[in-house]
Amino acid sequence: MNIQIDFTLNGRAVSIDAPAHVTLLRLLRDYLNLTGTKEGCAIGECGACSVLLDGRVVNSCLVLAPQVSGRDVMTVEGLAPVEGAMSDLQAAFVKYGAVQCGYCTPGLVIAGEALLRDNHFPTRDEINDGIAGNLCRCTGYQQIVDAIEQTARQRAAAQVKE
Amino acid sequence: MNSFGYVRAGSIDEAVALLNTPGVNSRALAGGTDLMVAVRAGEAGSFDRVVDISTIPDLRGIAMVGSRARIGAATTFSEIMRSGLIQQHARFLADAAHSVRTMQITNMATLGGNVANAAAAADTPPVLVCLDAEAIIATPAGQQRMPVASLLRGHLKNTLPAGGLIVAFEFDPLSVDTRNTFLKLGRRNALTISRINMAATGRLQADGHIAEARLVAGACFSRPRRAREVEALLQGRLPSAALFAEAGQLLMRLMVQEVGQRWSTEYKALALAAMVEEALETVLPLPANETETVRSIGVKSVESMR
Ligand code: FES
Ligand code: FES
Repeated sequence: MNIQIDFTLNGRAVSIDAPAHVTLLRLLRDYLNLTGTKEGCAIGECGACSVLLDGRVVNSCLVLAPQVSGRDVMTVEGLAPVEGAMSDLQAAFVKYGAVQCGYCTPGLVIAGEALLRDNHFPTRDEINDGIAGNLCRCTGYQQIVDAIEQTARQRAAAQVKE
Repeated sequence: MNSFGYVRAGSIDEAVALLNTPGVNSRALAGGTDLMVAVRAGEAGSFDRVVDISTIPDLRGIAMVGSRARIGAATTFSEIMRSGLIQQHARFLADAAHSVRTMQITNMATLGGNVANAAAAADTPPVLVCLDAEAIIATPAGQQRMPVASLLRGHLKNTLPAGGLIVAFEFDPLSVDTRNTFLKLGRRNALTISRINMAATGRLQADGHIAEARLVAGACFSRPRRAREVEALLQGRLPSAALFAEAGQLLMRLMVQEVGQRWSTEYKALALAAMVEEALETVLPLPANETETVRSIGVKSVESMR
């Protein structure tokens, strides 16, 4: 049963026809060709499929595509200010060695972004809490926490200057 | 994955009508954190469509209604964690929601969904039972009230009237002199499922005797219920390490009586007794001279949420 889904994706209005029973993850990857969002477990345990729904981080493998009708979705592709560039958080992931195989990275960048929007001065514990839903098999997490922590500091410093 | 349709309900009345459309097998969808996993695993059974209730304004929010605290059924765990009202009047409910630990889940999972799904290891039902919370249920014949304790029937079984939809939960806020705690012994730190959890409240009289204690263990009995036998044992007594140990032993025996001996019983029983002691120490503080003794007692391997 197909259904028309109208929503905002990375700041742009999107209208797409898809079966009602597909997940948001499938909608993004298979119907909209946005393959930055990854599928790890498909049952809500790994966070690889994290996206922002109305600014809050969710597992897109547990969201039914038509549930986003009329709502705002942001994926990793939408984080950079201009296409082809990186956001400050993405750049920090690179700088602090937070990316190894990279499979978890889009989800972690999204979870990190959600955390930083909510909490401008997170402690390392709060960062750990904020990324508790994202599994990484490679890095051991410390570099990821470093990248998020440093981005928080940079943003705070930039705020002060303005 | 089986194919199904989708319809979004704009109001409670519309949701009830959609859920009860003759000839259409409908399933309520709120946060989806349980349903979508079940669908994926092929365990959701077959249905024709989901009725999305997650955006109905009347199903959301936390407020005092008269002297009662009311939480809309589609209120998310994150909203509960952030609510000043819950922090003040029933903090252990926020702790139970927080114990899920992952933002991706707490941002979607709803209180109503957690109760309706009725997983044995669910985190919030023991707290609601401990609060003697009532569920308000909309049915085609009108609204009705049911204690949460009688809504839960066993693992993944609820006693919701056919075509009924949980609309909200209501409970009396805890008095300022009532302490509360939520404990969880889980498989791992992050992610949902606990093997044993426990909600407890306690209040002392001015003279230090126990005015009231409530205790609910989740994932131990066939369904979460107040351990009245243990509560009766505590009532009117002075808090002491020996009394709490006795309470732990009693709950342990009750569990074995009810569910019988299983491969996991030996471990569960020990852990349960230790959790009872820890929960009671938190909600019924021992007189200062008793504190030393407690520290020297047996297994203390329970991970406390706070
Ligand atoms: S793919 Fe969604 S949480 Fe793992
Ligand atoms: S970098 Fe490989 S899983 Fe995280």
